[in-house]
Amino acid sequence: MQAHNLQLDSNHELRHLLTIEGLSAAHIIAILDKAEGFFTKASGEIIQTQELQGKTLANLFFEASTRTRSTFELAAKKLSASVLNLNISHSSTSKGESLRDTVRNLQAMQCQLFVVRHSSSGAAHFVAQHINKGAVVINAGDGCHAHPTQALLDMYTIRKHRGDFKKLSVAIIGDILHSRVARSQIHALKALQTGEIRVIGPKTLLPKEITSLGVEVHNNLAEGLQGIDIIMMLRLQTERMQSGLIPAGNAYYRQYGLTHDSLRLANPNALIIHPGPINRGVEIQSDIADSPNAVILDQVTNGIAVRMAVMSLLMENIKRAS
Amino acid sequence: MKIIIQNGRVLDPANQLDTVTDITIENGVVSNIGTNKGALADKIIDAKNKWVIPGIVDSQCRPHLQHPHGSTLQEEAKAAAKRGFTSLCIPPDGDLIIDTTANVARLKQQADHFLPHLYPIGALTKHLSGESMTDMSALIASGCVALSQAMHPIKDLSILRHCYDYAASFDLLIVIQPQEPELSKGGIIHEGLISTQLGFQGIPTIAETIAIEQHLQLIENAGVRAHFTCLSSARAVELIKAAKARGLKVTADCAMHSLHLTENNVATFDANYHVYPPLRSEADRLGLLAGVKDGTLDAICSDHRPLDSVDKLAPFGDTVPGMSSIDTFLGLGLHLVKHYDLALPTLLKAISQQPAQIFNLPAGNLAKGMKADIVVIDPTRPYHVTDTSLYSSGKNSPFKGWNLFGQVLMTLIDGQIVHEA
Repeated sequence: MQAHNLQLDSNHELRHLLTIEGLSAAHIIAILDKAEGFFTKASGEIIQTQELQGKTLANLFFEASTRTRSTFELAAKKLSASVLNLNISHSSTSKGESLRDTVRNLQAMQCQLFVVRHSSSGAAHFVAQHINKGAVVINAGDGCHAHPTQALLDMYTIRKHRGDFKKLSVAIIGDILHSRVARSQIHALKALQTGEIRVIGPKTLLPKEITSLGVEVHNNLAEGLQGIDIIMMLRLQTERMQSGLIPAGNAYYRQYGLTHDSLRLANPNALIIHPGPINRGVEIQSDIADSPNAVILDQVTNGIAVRMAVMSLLMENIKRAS
Repeated sequence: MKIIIQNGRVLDPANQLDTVTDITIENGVVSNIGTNKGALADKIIDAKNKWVIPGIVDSQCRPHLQHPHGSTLQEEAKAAAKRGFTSLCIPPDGDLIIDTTANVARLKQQADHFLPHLYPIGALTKHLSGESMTDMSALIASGCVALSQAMHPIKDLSILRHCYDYAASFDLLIVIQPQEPELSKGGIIHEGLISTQLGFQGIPTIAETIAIEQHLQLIENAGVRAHFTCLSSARAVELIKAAKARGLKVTADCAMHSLHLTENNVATFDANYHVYPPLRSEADRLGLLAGVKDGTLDAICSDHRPLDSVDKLAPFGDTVPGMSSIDTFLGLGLHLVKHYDLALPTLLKAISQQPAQIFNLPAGNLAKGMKADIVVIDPTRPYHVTDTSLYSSGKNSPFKGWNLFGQVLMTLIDGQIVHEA
């Protein structure tokens, strides 16, 4: 059994959201459409519903996060669920309570939705394996493996601004090796039959068998950006420099930074997205991040609606199945 | 005490024997091979339609002396005997580091006449810290069959060179589990397709092959005898093949599971596939299998590492690597014969005769006068692998759910029946 099968029930409906891998275009589009329905037509504000009244969401964060955790919390509250925020440093659990026991305790506290972020690949799968019926797991990032809601909100944003994926050329730039976001984005873009997907970065920041995911590899930014419609930036984690994967100093910015000069190589009006938090002057020239084609803040807003859609859909599916 | 095993198919590749006949055992040794109708004995065993083979010699087995959660070395060794093992070579990096004669004695204290023979492999350096060499010849004199750093490679090549030179002075055998520590540091699974997909830090094949190249040069330079254990890649097999062709005194083995499983199995995040060295690609699996077939790999070991369930109860990367493998070892070997064209004599040599020769053990064949370490198996009897059917206290087997053929009906060690199913 492949790991991603764990997230689909016998009717191929979403049981948990653990990874984009294995999801069909229909699965993804259903989530995006549902998310769209949470915005009011007139003002574009996110509506308040009673859908998850009486339900409790546990935000189980074993890794620090501000944006993801907050938007999950806001999304749950927009659906009228209660929220339990748990920030558990990895070391404290490895010394004491096991992840399984933590989850079991929370289930005893009658939490039904588990949002899990963990530094180990497969952690959300592990939780899903050990959870009882009646609860759902949403992966909010596991190691370098997957960050499905981020990829979904990116797809939402691209669809909103540029429409049909089949006509788009997309480039993902930066530290692909350590990026769960990039892996989930690639799976989502593939499922949506995106015209062309490229990854751009130095060999030290690309997984060895990255082409097996169906992407074109470019080590040279100028080559990689030719004719690109969507630029998906990744955050450069500075510890990568310390671990000797790239030179210290501004070499990365010089080679891979998105500047006005490099941006000219892409198609005019190329859309720029970034999962945040952005490092101005490290991977992106500061004023580009604030330009009209950079929709980085719109992504954040869309993230709330997309996470609402995921929660709502998972709870509907579980209700239907029982 | 006289025992006759009658009418079994006696398979003893060391003596080119594959025939239905009788084996007579007297005073713990094989006294006769040949039809022995009507002879009197204390016990006569009917082995009709059964196979009679030399007991399994494991070149790498890691039963804990005292597992933190209960089981003991004796219990694991007893489980091994039930699965046809009669000699176990134990690396020095268990819960007892075998770096002094006192610790050799402690391990040997566990030995008992109803258990497989225990053969400790001594540490090459004190505390396996890679700094100062142990009293190698004393370790050998007290019962160690070889010396090794096991999973703690020496980083300082100058120290390693001195260790090999010193060992060569006394013609001692070195056991090497090749892994370049900096290249494999932090890695969890094979660097390849699955590490790319799952976002795990990879252990590249070059971590193994660069280490092998370094060791081979030092081995050649010192003229020391060496055995490479738990090889995991096709390229490693090529390197050993070339070294043997050059005339180096090297031998090698791989773990039984590496002939059956690949990185693809890890895609389920099932922690029972978390092993070290990691499961590599299908091409690597086939390369290892070809190495066993052509004799480049002299032996297949169990690399048995029983773990408590808690050690595997976490997300994959946070679990302890290791597989409980004595229970499935013989069945998986016969699976290779049945499904992957491995010749039966080649398998038997790789799990008995050749490891015995490498470690110079009085085992591995059924010649007249040999200690009677003999296993009677039913090659057709199925064995469904489940938690409860595992004799080992380590339930960390990814083969649960498999149906294997070949059950051990009887194990004799030094001519004594220690297990009878």
